[in-house]
Amino acid sequence: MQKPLFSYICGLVLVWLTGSCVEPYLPPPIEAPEGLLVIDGYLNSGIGESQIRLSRTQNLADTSVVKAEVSASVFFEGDKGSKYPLTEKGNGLYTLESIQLENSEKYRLKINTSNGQEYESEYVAVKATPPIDSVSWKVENGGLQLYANTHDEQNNTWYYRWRFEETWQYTSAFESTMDFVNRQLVPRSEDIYRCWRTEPSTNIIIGSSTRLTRDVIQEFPLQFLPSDSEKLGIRYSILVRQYALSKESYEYLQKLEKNTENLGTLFDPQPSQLTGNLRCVSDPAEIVIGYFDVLAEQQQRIFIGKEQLPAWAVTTGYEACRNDTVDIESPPRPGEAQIPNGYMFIERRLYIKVFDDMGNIINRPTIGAVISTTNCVDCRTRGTNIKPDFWQ
Amino acid sequence: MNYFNRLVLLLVSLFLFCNAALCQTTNTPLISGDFVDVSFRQFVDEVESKTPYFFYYDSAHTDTLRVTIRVQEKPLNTVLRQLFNGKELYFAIDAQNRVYISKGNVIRTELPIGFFENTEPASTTYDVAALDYLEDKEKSKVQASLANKLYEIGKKTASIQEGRATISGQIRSAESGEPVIGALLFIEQPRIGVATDQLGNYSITLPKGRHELKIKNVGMKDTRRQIMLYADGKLDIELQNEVVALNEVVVQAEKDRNVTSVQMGVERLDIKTIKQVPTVFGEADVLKVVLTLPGVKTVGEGSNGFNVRGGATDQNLILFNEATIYNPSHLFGFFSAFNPDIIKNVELYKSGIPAKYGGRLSSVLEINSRDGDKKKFAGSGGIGLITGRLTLEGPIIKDKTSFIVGARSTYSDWLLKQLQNASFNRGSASFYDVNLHISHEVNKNNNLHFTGYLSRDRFQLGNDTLYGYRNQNATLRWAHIFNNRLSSEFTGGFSRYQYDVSSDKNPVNAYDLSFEVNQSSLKADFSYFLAERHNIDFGVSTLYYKLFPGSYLPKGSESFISPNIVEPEQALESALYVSDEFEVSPKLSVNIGLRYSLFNYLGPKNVAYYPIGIPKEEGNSIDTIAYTRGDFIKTYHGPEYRLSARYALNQSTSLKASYNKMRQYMHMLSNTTAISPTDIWKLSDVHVKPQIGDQVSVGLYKNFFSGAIETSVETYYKTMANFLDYKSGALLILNHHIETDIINAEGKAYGVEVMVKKPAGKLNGWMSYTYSRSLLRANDPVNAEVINQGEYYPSNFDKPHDFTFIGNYKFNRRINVSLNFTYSTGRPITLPLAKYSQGGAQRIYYSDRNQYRIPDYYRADVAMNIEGSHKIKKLAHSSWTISIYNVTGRRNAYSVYFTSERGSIKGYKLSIFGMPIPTVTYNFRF
Repeated sequence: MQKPLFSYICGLVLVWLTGSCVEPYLPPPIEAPEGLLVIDGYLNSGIGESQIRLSRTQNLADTSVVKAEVSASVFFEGDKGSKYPLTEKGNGLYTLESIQLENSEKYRLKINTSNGQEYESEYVAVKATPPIDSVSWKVENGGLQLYANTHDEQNNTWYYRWRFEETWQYTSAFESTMDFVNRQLVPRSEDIYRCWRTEPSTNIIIGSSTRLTRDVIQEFPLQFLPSDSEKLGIRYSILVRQYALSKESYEYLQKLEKNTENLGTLFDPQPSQLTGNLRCVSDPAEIVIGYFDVLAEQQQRIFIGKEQLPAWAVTTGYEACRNDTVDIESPPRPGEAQIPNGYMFIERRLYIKVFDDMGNIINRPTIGAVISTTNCVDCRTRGTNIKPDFWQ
Repeated sequence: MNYFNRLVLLLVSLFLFCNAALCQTTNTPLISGDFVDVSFRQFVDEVESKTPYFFYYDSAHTDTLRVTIRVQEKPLNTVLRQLFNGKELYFAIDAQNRVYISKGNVIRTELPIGFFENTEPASTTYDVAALDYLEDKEKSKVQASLANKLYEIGKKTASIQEGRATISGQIRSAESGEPVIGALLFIEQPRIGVATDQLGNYSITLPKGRHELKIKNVGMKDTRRQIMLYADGKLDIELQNEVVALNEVVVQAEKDRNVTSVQMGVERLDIKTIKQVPTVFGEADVLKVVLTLPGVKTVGEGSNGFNVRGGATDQNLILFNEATIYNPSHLFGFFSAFNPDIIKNVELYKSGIPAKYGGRLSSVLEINSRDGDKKKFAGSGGIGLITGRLTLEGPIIKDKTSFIVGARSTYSDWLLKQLQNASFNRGSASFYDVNLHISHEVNKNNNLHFTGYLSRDRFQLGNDTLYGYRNQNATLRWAHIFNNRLSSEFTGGFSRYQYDVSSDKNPVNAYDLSFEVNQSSLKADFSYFLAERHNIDFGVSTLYYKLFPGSYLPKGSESFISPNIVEPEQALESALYVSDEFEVSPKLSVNIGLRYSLFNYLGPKNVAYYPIGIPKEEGNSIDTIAYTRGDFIKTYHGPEYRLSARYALNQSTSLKASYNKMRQYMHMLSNTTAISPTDIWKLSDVHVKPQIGDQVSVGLYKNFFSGAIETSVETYYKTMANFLDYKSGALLILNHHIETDIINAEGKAYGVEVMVKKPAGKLNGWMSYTYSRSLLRANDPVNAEVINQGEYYPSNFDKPHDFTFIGNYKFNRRINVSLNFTYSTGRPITLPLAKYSQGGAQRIYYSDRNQYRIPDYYRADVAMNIEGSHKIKKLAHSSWTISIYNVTGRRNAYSVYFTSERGSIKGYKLSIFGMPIPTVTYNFRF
């Protein structure tokens, strides 16, 4: 609601202007105190593995990979005495196999780090997630808008979070069925023309039905794809995961979203310091980042084919691809024909060679190879050519 | 024969008669001496040293004159007659032995007592029958003769009695009959002066006897009246507008109000000045000009609201003809909601706030509209790139009743539709405002004024949410003069501000959200001239508030929205005040004021109570009491002291000091950096205490070149208690227990404001520099959240250095050019301290609040006004304004923000007017 307000104002003002209102900004270097512990993950109360990832914060200008917190002892603890230790999988990841939780029990996360600090969360109750009624879509505002629909008969859920995974099929710019290896044409063993790419959602998507008389979510906007999106080139699929949240968890995410996403308007909220439900037991002054939750997942997948959509011109990202023909029959030195580095063979082509390499007119039919860059030929540079199990 | 010569003849004969009369009654000093070829100056020095005579003359007229004369015990008039014989020099001598030398024209000092048969005091009949010939020709000469005429005030007595008497009356414009506000009346010996009030009335107490009363006002020709004061009486004066200075000597006297008045921390702007300042969309904008004054800041350009001396935006009382305006802007703050054609002047009080005003902590911005022309119909208007406006005015009953009506609207809607970009042309934005002002003169002692005001904004984004807000005001004022000493004004008013947000895109979630403030007020203000050294103002006021803090209702039958209505609030805010402006000595004047305000929070309302000493949380309320209609739920009251003093160090220098205490019972809740159109207002209640502000201010004022240049240095220190801050991520609208989201904070602000102003002349304008700080602290142990470890931190509008230059140069009578330059430190922001990865995306962790700053701000604007020809008789006068806003095209940062995009953190700088913006506006008058 605020984003369009801003762009609208810009638009109004930019009636005369050509420049943009927003430009990148590099903040002055700020040296943060030492890395704070970041806790990311939840206890899965449904079916499936629980994951907790431990890491440290970095300075804004730091471009190195995230520093993982290793060799910590991590476990879930119930308020009725149950205890589930997690297994360290390396790189700061700690996991627990699917377990059956007691709905009446509350759970918390406890961590002992290798530097001797002890952390714990508040106790969190188990909350069931109602199933997704449907994932729907509409063609509007010059693109495809995807929605989530759900409800809770018991009027008990009220706060929801969604994540999604998008998968789409695409093809590279040029289909190559043969390969040119050691000056020999050989059939390609692998299809490198048709691929799939999967991307998870990164934004916080939360919704609430508290303003309604019933616990119903209708057409909650999840994702908007502009009409020229590469994702809509052939076939698109989205897997939507839904989680029921507690009120506290919802409010935490809402603040996190306000702090880090919906910014750049005329009426920005003041960024706030965010406190989750975790604390350092051994040093109460230490700040711990993250929120521990007990969540159950519901999911639904839909497919949308190109034929279901208007005839949109898609920007594939391969627009800049060009092919070229090289002579493979009469190379400068016989027997040395090859394809330049970084290029791939597309097909053979017969053409009339007008000049020889000395510049004499020859007008001789010649066999050439049509080639293009690997990025334009091999779709695996952007995704995978292994068809996902769920693909239909 | 031309009238002028006839007049001179007449005056000369009068003069002779006068002198004859004078000689009989006064003991004339005699002159003796032997002057041989001395300069006139030496002659004057000699005479002045030996006799009580004092000469007034222009040395340019007399520098060629050599005096060779031998006299023995001769009266001065005989000597001078002999001396000036055959030269074009004239002289006059008045009762106080002052000698006036003039060239080509005679100065008349006095008319004989009893010259007129007419016994009515202060009659406006022209003094000489000959003047009737002049009738409507050459009005300025009539004025000149009016200035020379002797007015007898009060019942004539044979001789002047001891003591003082009071003259009162009204000063009006000779052209339109409108009262002239703030005109200065004074006599020089002894130095006594007053200014006219809001209705152009004045009252001045002078020693009985003969005086020359001078009257000055900006934009009007200076004039004077010769008066013979016998007893209390009345004198109305008409001033002529200063259209164009023709062949006439303009006597530039000290317009030195800034030095002589007790009032400090006040800025006055007339509409002429406001119109000269370049603005972004070419239309004169009151609030944008107010922003250029020292001590006034804003969070960012194009943002709604302003901050005065470290106060929040809701701490400004904005009065449009005495009616409170809650949202003074159009289109998110790009335009102010006041039509420049209606406005007469603007006054901003930053300190030394008169006891008459109260209810806000930081400032009072008084915007006064003009009265309509009482004599003829006229109109004016303008066409700009975004807005158009039209104003009509004229008499309803000639010389008695007049109206002025103005309307303004935008065609931005139409512009948007022309855009090819789909995301804009589906939106819409429009606003308009309408003003109506009627003034009626019942009789000399009773005047009625009615003002109606409506402003409306609507904007829609895409096909989705529709926003709208509206200000509605009506006031009726009755000004009544009881007698020469006591005048009064009774005002009844009503203000309403409301906004609504609605969406019907998704039928299930279609809603209507609305908010409304209603305010009805009654007040009576009296002004009593106790003695010439005491001027007492007193009055009483009461305000009734009714707030609908938010209602969220389903729209359409398919909507599942559950109605959510926050209980209405009501309260009564009353005040009593008295202040005395007391001239202790010619050097020292003080204004001692006391205002006592009383606030009652009224039922019906359900009020939750919380345990004392621990943070208020939604879950921990211990009791809820249901109050019924008429219950007094909570009462706050307290004194507000208003003291100011002026000490004149010399004629052109003075030192002033003031102390103010203010109480505020109405607060705006906003946790965005700039005012957003969906911010709400809240009354003080059981949990939200009134904000209390204290300010001490000291200033030094000095005028140079007889007031041609005014300079001032003011410093202030201010504290604010019960300042409102909010918990992180607090939701303010539709919150049934807002007290649980409010944090009690306190503020302090201090600064120095330096200003150099050249109010008139070919080159005019001002230059100001401000150093100021505005700091907040939230360290109440009962707060649920501690901000910045309970230490002071800079507020959002803490911009320590601020420099402004506003200049205007008149090349000739048709072309003038304005230049505006402004620099300020960037406003504070909160920057991220660290980044981390969560849920597959990078997030940021913020540092302490407001510890960093966005880049410094600077901007230069130019404008050129081109007037049409200056023929007085033509169909319409027109002018063009061409302006370029942000000439250098600097991309000033409005904000800097960091956002998580596709999983990684990106920093952006947002600028609003990142390019030079040229505009053309056509203005006309008929």
